[in-house]
Amino acid sequence: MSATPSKNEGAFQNPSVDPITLQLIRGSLRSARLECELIIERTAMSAFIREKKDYTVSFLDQEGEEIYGETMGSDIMGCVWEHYPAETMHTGDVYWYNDPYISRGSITHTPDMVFITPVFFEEELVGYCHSFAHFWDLGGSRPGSIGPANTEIFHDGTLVPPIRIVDQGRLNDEAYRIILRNSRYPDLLEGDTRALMAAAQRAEERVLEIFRRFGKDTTLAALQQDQQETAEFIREKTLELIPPGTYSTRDYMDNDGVGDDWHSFHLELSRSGDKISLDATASDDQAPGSINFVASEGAVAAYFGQHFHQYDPSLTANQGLLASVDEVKLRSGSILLPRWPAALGCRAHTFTKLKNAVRAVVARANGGDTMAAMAVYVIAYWRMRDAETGEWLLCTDGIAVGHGARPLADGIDAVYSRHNENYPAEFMDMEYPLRMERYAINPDSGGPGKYRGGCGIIRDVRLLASEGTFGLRVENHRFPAWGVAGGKAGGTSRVVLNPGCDNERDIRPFSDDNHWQAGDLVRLYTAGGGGWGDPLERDIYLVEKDVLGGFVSLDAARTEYGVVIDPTSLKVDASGTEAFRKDLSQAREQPKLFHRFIYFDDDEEERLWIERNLPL
Amino acid sequence: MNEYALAIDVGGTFTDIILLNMTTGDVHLLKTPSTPYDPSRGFVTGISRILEAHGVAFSQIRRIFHGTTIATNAILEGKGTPVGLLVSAGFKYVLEIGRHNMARMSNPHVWVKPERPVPPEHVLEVPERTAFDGAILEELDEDAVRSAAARFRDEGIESIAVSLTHSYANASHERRVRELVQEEFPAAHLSLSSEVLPVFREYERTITTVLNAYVMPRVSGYVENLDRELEDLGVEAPLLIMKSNGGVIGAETAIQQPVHTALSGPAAGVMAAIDVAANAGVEDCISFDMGGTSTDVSLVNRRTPNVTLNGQLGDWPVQLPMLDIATIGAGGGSIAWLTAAGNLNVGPRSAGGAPGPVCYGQGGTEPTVTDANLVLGRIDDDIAGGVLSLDVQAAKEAIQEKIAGPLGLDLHRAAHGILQIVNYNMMGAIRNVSVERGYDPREFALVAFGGAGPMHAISVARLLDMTTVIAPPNPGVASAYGLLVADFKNDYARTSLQKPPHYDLETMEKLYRELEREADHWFDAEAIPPGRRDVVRSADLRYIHQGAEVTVEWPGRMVNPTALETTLQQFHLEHSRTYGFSLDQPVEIVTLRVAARGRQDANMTMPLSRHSDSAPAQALVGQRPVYFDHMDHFVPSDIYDRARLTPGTVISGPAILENLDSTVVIDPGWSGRIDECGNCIMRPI
Repeated sequence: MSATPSKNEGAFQNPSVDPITLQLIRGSLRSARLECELIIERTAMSAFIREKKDYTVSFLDQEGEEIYGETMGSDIMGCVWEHYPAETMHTGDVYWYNDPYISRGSITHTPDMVFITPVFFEEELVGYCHSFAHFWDLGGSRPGSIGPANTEIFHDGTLVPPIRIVDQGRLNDEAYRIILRNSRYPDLLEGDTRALMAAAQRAEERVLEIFRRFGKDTTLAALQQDQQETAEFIREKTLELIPPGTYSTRDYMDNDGVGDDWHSFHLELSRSGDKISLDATASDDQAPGSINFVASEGAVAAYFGQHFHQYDPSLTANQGLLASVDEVKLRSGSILLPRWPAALGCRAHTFTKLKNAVRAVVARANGGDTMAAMAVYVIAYWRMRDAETGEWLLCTDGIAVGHGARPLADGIDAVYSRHNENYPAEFMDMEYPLRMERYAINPDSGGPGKYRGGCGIIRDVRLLASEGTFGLRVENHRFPAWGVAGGKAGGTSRVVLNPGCDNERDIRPFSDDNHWQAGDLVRLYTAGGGGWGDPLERDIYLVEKDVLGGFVSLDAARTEYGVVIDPTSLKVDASGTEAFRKDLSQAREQPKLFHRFIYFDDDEEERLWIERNLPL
Repeated sequence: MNEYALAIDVGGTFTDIILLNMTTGDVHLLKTPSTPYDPSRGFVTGISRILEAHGVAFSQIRRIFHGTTIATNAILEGKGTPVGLLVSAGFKYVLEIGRHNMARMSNPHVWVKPERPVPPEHVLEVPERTAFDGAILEELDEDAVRSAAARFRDEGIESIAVSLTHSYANASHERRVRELVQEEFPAAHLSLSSEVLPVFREYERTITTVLNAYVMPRVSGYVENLDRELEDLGVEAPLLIMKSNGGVIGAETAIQQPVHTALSGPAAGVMAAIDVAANAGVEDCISFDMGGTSTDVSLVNRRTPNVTLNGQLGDWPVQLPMLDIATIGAGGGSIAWLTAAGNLNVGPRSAGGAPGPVCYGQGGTEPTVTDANLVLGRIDDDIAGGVLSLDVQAAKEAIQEKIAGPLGLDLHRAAHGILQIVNYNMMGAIRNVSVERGYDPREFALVAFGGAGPMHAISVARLLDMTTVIAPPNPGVASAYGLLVADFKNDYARTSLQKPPHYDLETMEKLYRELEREADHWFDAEAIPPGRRDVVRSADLRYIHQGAEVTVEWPGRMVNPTALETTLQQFHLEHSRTYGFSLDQPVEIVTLRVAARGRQDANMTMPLSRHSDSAPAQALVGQRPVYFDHMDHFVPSDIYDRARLTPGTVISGPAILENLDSTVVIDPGWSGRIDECGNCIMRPI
């Protein structure tokens, strides 16, 4: 953990590097990152990287601490140094791995791979660059490697421990061929790995330029100072916004893909004096299925620090984000720190809820001044046998959900995780024996609130090939995203095969090996985000607008928001609404801090309800 | 009787007009305030004034070129016309969902999805389905189209966009929709996606079509009105409008595809830079147009501007061929400010023309780039020939109070810091259009214009190790020059996926011919004689499974195995040049393109400069201390009146060349030579 930074006297004065030079170096790193990410976007082959944009480029200092990037809190270099001590590295080397266990959670599931280049300036190792992306297929139990039915890490595809894939400019062809041979789609893997290596190498050049322009001492000092600046700000904000006390939350995953039981984790934030701790040891044991998340102390601290970064997003996202926490406690063997060889592929269910949990403990501490929970973003694995070649094709389809409402704005409708893009319908039609027939907003899926949770979507996909299977990584079927500050939970997800037909049936949302035949249609309804604030306080004209646009039904406008709207003109009845809201505010369940199934203030209160009503 | 050409570049603050005597080569300039409430006012009064001043009759005008910001402003300010959108059943939310992403690096706590130009209630679905290969899977429901058209009519929505799935492969349903809507609602403006952008990816095609519909009534009203007024004045020459690809089109074409005029102004600047560089004997250049609120940079390779298919207008992707222009929100009026944590930023907020920089003394209180330049002696405290006197003291106090004090820096370091931040941003923009596209900026000259361009050019060039900087004679009106030298240009494209090894050469040839027929219709409409028509074929290619395509020229006018082989080879080379590697993997052909160019009939190259005879000594008007960034202190510098410098004169830095519309700063260690055209060509000594 980072040491608590020293306080600085004087407004913005910095002793070593002047603030303008610091800003210039920061700007140079930012444009270097954008340039290198563009290389990945333009040249990667698998659709998951190039259309869904699941990639990033980051920069590390000599100690392996992040100076700029998106993988905050991961100890990217630790496992590399164990095999290749820094003094054995050379210019022109590229290191590669994806092993979640060896890297102690720097990588959290096997499809994520990292390529690292050391940066030498005047023969001194001054830092590292790395490129990271989610790859298409590395072998494993089914096309796409990870999936709901996996129960061991070996089902999740080939493990690559830290290796030196390029040694002083020479590609290690033997190792490369072994890894490519283990993919069902070696051409894609080759194209993607080439793109990632090119990006990491370009990043190295760009960092060298910065050293050349500003000189070694100034650059190194500036990068340290930048980390310190972020750390100071984050620390100060944390202490300002979290009063002394203990604040806990528990969240629940629908099931683990192989069983029907729900699984939960527990997170407790405590402040005693100026000491801030996060404790997740009261979480459930690891699950038999693939929702286990190899959390690291750094990653949990970084999630927490990111919450405070919103108060000045102009600060560089770097190791300084970890400064908000002094201590993180995890329990080995729990769902947040599973033991080898648990499967990890669908850990997004758990870590998305863990990110929500950070907001929940902050909400407990400050009375609800946080974003509500977002739904877990969805992946469908459409697999179909090509009629001509007999080979299995795979379409890994990342699908949007609704995000949590915020204290000052509605939640974002129909977004995946963040900047990840969907596949255009016309792309899917052209590339696969599939036809996308509908792509719409899922009405009433956004949690009601003064600010509405974001809506999920409806997606209809028809199979044109003669046979196929599909896997679904859909959460929030039993446990929707919670609302906060009086806001209510978002809607749940659902998957239906052949809706409206004689052979219509519901499909388990988190499942694999579902068979379908030519002409079958799968409809996905994805979940929405939680609402923020009392729905009866929502601006009536925003409710009218939502009804007009199809985000909220007439019925929900009345029952949830207390807004009376004329069914033919779709105009709001302002005086009728006022009277109706008055009655409703008496008759309804009274708002509390959180809502999911019921309003509740405390996670134990919710747990009792769940154990009574949703027994294991 | 002498013949004349007119170029009118209407910007946000000023309208620049150039009157060129095509017989003698004489040039006259006029800068007049724009009239945003009715841009045609400023246009008409401006040309009347300049013609009258020089005794030229309207009937003597042979060419009239126009750069306009009507479409851009409507899009950026969200002030277009209400649009109704017709889509295939199932895709009502195509705009709302978009690519379901938030902007890269945005903060999810504060990011708000940009409001779409069309709300969902104005998007109506019509049952129909076309497959990606053009096969009709479900017939068009004509009754649904009729009732949708009636509904738009009844709600007073007059501009209708139509975007049906896979219409690039078969436009018959969209065309039928047009007929039906015209029957039901004859007054409606119509934009079909199969005409605006017939390429795949439904969100991108739809938003571009919607933007076309969004600006169509306004642009067509403006252009028709202007055309009528010009006719009334006795102008016989056709009105030609600059489009985003750097070519001009006739008024009639502009009315049909108004979204193509979105980069009208910036594109003219790039065309000017090409001409300026060519006059100076340079074929490869980067244009650097720094105005009051923003800066546009673009790369020119062998006199050909780079074109992008991944353009962006405000929040919206626009995948039409546009000049590859990187715009950053930093210019002379941009405001310097500190973030909560005390980090210095400049722009994108600008003090604009009013109140303007602090030193203008018109109520501005926040320090700007111009204030920093003034405090460092880089501009004179009397500008515009003594018309405007600048308040140095006020500029110093603002920088001291808002920037230097809180950062604990001395005044000059802070002022210099403001310029450094801006110059680094410029460097970033130049890298976007060069390094990121596989070009080395050191092999290019920097052509600097706009009011502030030549003041920052050498600082920016030094950051990129560029060794040639060219400042044209009248940097402030250079964009209007670009209008005069532009050719007619229109682009045609059609997606037709060809997977290896079964490239269907026959279909490709058929499609190319269709595109060329469309181009011929346009040539006819613009009355371009056959001898001046150029048609170039190109194709977008990618490795199988890749998502982004690389456009390469198709050799000649035949689709045969040899031409195919050449094109594939060219693709591998281009991929390697741009991204640093190529692969031994199969290549797909995705989209076919035809670029049509009609060459101008008159020689519009700008004339040689006509300077009065005067010795350099007479041009030397004084000396003052100027702060240069690599010196870190003030250096006594010679000040010249640029208008008095004759061709062949060489001035060594540190020096400042001043004229009415701009200031050229020559750093120590650099020198500037005035060429025959009046350009100042600067190089390190």
